[in-house]
Amino acid sequence: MHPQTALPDEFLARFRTVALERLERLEAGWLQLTQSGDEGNLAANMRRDLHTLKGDSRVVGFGDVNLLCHKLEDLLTLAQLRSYQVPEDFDLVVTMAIHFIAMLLRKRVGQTVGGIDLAGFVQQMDDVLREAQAQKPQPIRPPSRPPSVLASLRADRLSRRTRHYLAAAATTVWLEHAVASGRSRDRLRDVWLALTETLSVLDSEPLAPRLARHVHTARQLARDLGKQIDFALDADELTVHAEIADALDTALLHALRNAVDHGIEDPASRRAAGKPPAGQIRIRVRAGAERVELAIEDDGRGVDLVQVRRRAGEMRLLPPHGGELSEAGLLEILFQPGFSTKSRVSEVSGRGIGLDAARAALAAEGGTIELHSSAGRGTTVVLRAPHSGRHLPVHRFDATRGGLVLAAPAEWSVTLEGDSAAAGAGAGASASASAFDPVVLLLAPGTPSEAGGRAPITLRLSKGGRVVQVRAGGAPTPETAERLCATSDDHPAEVVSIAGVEALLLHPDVLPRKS
Amino acid sequence: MTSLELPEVSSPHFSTQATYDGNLIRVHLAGNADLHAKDALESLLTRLHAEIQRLGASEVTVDLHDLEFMNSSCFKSFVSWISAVQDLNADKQYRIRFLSNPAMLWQRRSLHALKCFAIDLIQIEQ
Repeated sequence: MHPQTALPDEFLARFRTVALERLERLEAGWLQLTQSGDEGNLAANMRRDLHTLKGDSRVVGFGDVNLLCHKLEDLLTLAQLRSYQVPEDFDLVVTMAIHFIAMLLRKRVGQTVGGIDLAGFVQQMDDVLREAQAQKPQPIRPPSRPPSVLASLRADRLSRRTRHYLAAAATTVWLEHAVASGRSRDRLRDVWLALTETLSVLDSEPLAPRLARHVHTARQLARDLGKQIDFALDADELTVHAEIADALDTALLHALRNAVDHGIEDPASRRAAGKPPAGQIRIRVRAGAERVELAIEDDGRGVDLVQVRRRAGEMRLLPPHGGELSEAGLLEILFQPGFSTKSRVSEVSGRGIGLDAARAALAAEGGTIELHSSAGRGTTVVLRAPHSGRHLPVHRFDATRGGLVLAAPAEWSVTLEGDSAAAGAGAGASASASAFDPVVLLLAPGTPSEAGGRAPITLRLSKGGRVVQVRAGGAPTPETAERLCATSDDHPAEVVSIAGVEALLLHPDVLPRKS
Repeated sequence: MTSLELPEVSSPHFSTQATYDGNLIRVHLAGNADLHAKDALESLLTRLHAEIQRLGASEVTVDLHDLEFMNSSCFKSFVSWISAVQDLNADKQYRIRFLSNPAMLWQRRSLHALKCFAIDLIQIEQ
């Protein structure tokens, strides 16, 4: 039986509605990408939308939509490599592909799809992709108009680029304050504080509304599928960085949908298994000191490892020479991209759909996803993510003057230059001559000289063969810094807080190398 | 002979001209169909669709030979137009013949892709 005919009409109608909404977002996103380039998470969000649509369409039996989504992913990937500077016909074919998919979705309701040349359209997509691949990438042109910071500010959320602009401005204000004196110094610090607080507020988002929305959607899905499910939400009140919220959102969406769709059995099956007819899905949210943890637990059938193993064998994902995979190894296979795209096995066993996308979304923000399953007893998906990516291990050291505290990321190893001790005794001028002084580099000339009676030393920062020498007013100590307004990686510094003291975190990657 | 009631668009960058000889409807587009032309083009195609039905024509020729550029927003108007033709009862549907210019980059693949929306209704000629 064709899977499409096996699903309730209400389910298909909802799929169609959601799919058309995704297509609207994709079309608007594509227009923006080609006109203004990628800002914030636009391209990533589009990829997620398209990937989810692809997975959903396969589940409900819309093979043609699934195929076009796959081809569209190829086009978008290439467009991204070309920084969205694509030929005119490429642009038009992408737009038409979105409309072609919409047409296929709409035509399903009691209409013939005669007259539609799916194979011909796919051929055009393949041709335009092949031609674009053969062309040399055009040099990236600056946008036709300058990026509008005000326009971004009017949006509910700031784009990453805008945040970096503001953070760089805030850092400059802080540096100005550091070299100012009297009332000017206080006023500049007030401005910096106001900027930092505004950035912090604009960047944060409470998790509760998102959780409530997902639970509501999951209830609807359960009703559509004729399942009885009790949901329990046990969540700490917490606010996280907006990008973390997005990553958790994607993973939560996939985990909940899988739990409802594939984890929880129908009432008859549950009774036959000696379970109460109503399944349970529990969402726990806990805020740790540095990370937030979401666990989605269901008391359903669990992952069918026998089927996963069989399918993994068919896809040549098992160890060669007859080696056996552990249970954990088999569960790990469910995160393989494409594991569930070519077989209905994953639909039966669940857990394959979109897990790779969920993991990728979390990994991009420093998070993780784990899956635990017990046959017949249920599955637990655990999502972990940093609150905001704000805490960073650093080497803390004093500047040579100005009373400033400096820091460098701990991923850089730091050593004292061999003759720094001698320098401390006033004899190391040659060793420190090639080192730069962050205070001199970053602050305006005329910095008040407050060496504090300590002779400068030279620190050698190194990472992956790159070496930077820094003049410091004291030996480094390991600390944890709180990032107050993170600048972009190509900005030389940003302001952090170390044990309640404001400090300047250097970005050694963009500081002068050792000569 | 019943006349074709279709206003012409005439702007510095985009223009249209329609003719009807009692048998064949022909629409000529020229210039750049960019964002500024979107509303005019959408309105033209909506009106053209109505006129073709009123006149009972079985075919319309759209001459794109002098249309130098079309952006995706304008192209969507064509997709919508074709969808509207598909939604008609079979006996009311009409054929659309596009006259293309292979020298125009944007027409290279897009018109063939457009044809795939309704291969029984659309014809591409040079």
